Amino acid sequence: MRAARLLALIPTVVMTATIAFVLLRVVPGDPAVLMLGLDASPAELAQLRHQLGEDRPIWAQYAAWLAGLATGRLGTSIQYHAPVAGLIAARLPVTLSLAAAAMAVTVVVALPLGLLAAARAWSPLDLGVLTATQLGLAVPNFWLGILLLLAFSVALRWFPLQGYAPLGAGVGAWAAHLALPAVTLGAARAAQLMRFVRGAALEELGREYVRTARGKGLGERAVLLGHVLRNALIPVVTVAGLQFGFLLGGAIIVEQVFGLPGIGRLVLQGIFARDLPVVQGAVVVLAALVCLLNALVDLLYGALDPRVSVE
Amino acid sequence: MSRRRNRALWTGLVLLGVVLGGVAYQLLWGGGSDVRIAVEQRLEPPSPSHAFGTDDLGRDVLARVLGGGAIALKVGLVAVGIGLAAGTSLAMVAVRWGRWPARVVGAVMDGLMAFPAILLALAIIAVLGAGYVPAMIAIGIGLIPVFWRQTRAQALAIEGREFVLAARGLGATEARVLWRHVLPQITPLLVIQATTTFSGAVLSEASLSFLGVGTQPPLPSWGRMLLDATRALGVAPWMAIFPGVALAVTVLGINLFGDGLRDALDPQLRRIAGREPVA
Repeated sequence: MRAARLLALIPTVVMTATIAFVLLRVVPGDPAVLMLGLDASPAELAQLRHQLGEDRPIWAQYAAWLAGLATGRLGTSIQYHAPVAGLIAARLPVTLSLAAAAMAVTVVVALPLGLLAAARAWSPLDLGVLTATQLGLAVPNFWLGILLLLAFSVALRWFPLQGYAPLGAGVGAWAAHLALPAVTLGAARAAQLMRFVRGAALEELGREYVRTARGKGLGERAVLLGHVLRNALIPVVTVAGLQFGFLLGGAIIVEQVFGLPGIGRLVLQGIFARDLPVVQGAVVVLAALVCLLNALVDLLYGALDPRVSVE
Repeated sequence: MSRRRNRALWTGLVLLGVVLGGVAYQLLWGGGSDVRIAVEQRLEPPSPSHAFGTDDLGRDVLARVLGGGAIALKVGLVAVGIGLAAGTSLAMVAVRWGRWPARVVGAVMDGLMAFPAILLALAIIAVLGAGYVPAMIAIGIGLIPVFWRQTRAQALAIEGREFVLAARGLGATEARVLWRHVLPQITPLLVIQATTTFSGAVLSEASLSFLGVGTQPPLPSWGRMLLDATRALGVAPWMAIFPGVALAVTVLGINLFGDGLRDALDPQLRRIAGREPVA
């Protein structure tokens, strides 16, 4: 069953790869000319086209693209003259750490606040949370990032303005460079998840097992943490899992605000330099990653709730 | 309950009215002040003559915020139009005619859905080039599967209902059944979906312009203004504040309006899961 869920990924990933391939093929312009420049000799161009496989029929190119994808070869970058897979591998850790840190922010903020808001439904605290989430959803993440930069980097000088420090440079530097981007990226997701946690917990609070738990003398804290949270967690995991995909997409924008050298910057450079193999490769790798994460979330239900089986 | 929700509708309408009023004012009486460069008055803080200050080229930030609103709304409307028209008609065709066309369309839609929206938009812009028209098309294409999925689910549910069978039994053509009987049933849902995706489309335009691949200078765009603002953060914070406020007010207005509309049109309806905006 689990293997089946993972196998079901393949057609989707092949479809994303096909869409990316078709997109690239529609582009006017000759990659060989882009790489060598306009004054290259016809013989050089022909040789490069042969190297790139451009002189083969379209179906053979398509088959080669899929086969390359399956074996981790994504073609050659036009601007860097280097394998696309390597370029992506070098930048993926930045994007993934940003998305993971933002996910942590999301969960740490949304779970307790959402639960608390549900426990005190329609109290001033709850209404405050609801208003804050409505605002959090309306504020675009890159603007929030700019505001945070204005407050904490320009005015207070607590955090660096731009850039990234790898984990190897020390945990402190890594965290300092990632803190504001993670909050920026996580805020809207936290708002959304908080609304969701509140709704799921409210629903659970109305059930009979909660009355039973209270009736047998359990404290409100034990009811909330021991019973409500556990049952509310299943829909919450779904939403949180889906959000990881959005976090990866949002990371592209937030990277730009804080000057982080991640996949987003690679894609943008690729667009500006008309380096389509890079754009194509990065887009497919990220889409495949999102599909994989969604499948893992499906599998996680089984672990959280034995009543659920993956069909 | 309903009074509280109606408040959402009216608050949304008021916010949107403010935005539309400002945009209309700039279009009718602005006289191109949103693109007029005046280097001698660059980076001036807010003052009576420039309520929102001026930017690094001396342009009036208020005029550019209002002009940017016109572009944001235009991109949003056209993008939602593309998604709505293409998604709904594809779904109708898929439901009524043929098995394998429906499967092929379905597979392509699933593939499109697999991309985070911003990535799909960037891939399309890589092909079409930067600009607000490509951005509009790219955002619209990303919305097609959203409308496709919803219309298809609704149309399938309606397919077997008595009034559809009756219409068919009376000899109505397939096109007539779809147009006169099925479509009116799902119109309220589509209106709500269009509203929720509209705020997402406005956000997407701003995001793409912020990345530098959406609306291009000298045209004003909230996202592009915020990008320019990041280069003058220390000296001209007003450049970073006002376009963001305008964007947030617009999105909040559309969201509240959509919430209110949903309850007004169908109190039974649960929240519809639309495609996430990219931001």
